[in-house]
Amino acid sequence: MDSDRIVKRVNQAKQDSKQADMLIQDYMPFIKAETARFLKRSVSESDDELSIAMFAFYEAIKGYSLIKGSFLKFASLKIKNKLIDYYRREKRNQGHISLESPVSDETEGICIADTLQDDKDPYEENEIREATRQEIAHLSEQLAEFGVSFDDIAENAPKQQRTLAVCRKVVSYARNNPEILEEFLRTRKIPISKLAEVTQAERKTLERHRRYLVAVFLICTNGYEILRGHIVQVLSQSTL
Amino acid sequence: MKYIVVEIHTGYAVLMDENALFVRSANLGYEVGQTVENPILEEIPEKQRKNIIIYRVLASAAACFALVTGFFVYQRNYAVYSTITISASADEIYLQVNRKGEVLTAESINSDTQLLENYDPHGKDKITAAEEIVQKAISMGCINDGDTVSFYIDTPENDYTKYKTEIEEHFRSDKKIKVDVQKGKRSEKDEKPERKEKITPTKEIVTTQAQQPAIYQEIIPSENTNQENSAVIEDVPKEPETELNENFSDSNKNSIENNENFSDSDKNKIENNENFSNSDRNRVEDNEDFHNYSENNYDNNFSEFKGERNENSVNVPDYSQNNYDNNENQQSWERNDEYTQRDNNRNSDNNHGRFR
Repeated sequence: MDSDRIVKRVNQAKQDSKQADMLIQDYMPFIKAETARFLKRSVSESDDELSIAMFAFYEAIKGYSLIKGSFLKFASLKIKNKLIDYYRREKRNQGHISLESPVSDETEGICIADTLQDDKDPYEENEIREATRQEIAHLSEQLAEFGVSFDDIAENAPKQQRTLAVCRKVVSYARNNPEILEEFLRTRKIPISKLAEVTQAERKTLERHRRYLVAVFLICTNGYEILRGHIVQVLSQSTL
Repeated sequence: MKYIVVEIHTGYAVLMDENALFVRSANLGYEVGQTVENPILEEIPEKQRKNIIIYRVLASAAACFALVTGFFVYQRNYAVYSTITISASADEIYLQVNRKGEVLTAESINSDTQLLENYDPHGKDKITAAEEIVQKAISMGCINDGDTVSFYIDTPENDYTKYKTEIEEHFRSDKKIKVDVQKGKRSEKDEKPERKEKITPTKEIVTTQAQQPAIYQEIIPSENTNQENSAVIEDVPKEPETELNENFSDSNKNSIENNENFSDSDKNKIENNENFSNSDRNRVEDNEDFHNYSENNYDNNFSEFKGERNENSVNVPDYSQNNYDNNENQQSWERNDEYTQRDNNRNSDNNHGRFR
């Protein structure tokens, strides 16, 4: 049965991000059709609505269970709700002039954004972005040695403020005590027992968010200045 | 809040915010390393957590409700609320009833009447069950015309009157029997005596050995009574040992066997109980006090052979002459009677304490 096959693939995609990518790719015609039905027009690859619909399809994969009935009906509902939410948010910007709109009907190819003064150097931005990309690639390689990916970290990251505060306390302690980071790099293991004892955090909490702590500990080590600069506010907080 | 794009997938992107949180968002044409603002993020999971709490509370409430409901259902349908004892001359039927008045169990005190055979009143109304039991008892002859059937009702006070009224009204139309309804359980003084096992005059002997009787020597007293040990030894098939022989205590058996004061002939006589028929032997051997025989009792027992009644011996059968007349082995009794009289005089001088 097709429904059984879809359910099987959905269950596999829940566990594996690559399977999820393949499932989204295979059902792209379905996603386009649902988007076009909502927009009442055809869609192209560059439309934001299509990206949002694809993201909604991914959320349907993550949140699907058998009690919710047919997967495709569930996904269709998810896509529709996501697009509605997107349009409600965009409604706030209605009445504003887009920076991409032309200056006048007479001047073609010149938009309002081109006329504004920009202090930023696009070349510098490109270089920063390239450096950031390299740091991220290097971080990704190091994370792979720990058997962790960014997608796993997003899944594993603390969602509640209370848990996030505990993790921040642990990260702050590790930054203020370099021997912790050295031991971490040497042993490839986070000293959870010691950290739990010192920070008075629950060992269970630290175990549950181990992957997240691995990523942040790595960022705190040498070679990730850009990423460390991005989360400087977090790192500067010391609640000990 | 600014986000750095760290990973790109087909349907989404992974971003890292300024709080060092990694989140998923829609991929609106992002590139790795790009800094974005106001992305379309994945739904907040905190809502799911609230739903979980609600589900847990509902589940707990449902479990409590099921527990309480189950308790009340059990109390009403399965717990014993009252008992009704239907008592007639031949039997008593004991009914356990639930709060709804339905019979849970039925028990017959006297199983011989078989009133409850092929009849199961479980689930029936108490009055219906009582009616059926009484009718069955009448049809089986356990209850005759004019008999009184007693109903003993053990129930809370507020229900007793109701039960009594129901029973009396139901059986009022039955002119054949009289109905007597009382409160409480059947009192101890009115209880019928327990049926005791009838004591049969003779018991069956269970043979343990092979049926081939062994040979033992029977000492037949000779006609010349003046001589001691003048018995004629004759081979007589020995009756097989019985289980009842084990009623002798080991010490007594040993004392009998090893008594140096007894002559061989006497020892054989005692061991083989040649003076007893099988039934008589059992009666003596079954005597609980036999192994506690004192010297007097031993002498008294032997005096029994002479035809005297032994009043001191407990449960020793009457070996009076009258009984001998009825005995199949009367001749041997008579013969042995003479012999035992002679030996009794001799053995009484010996130490019979071992029989104690």
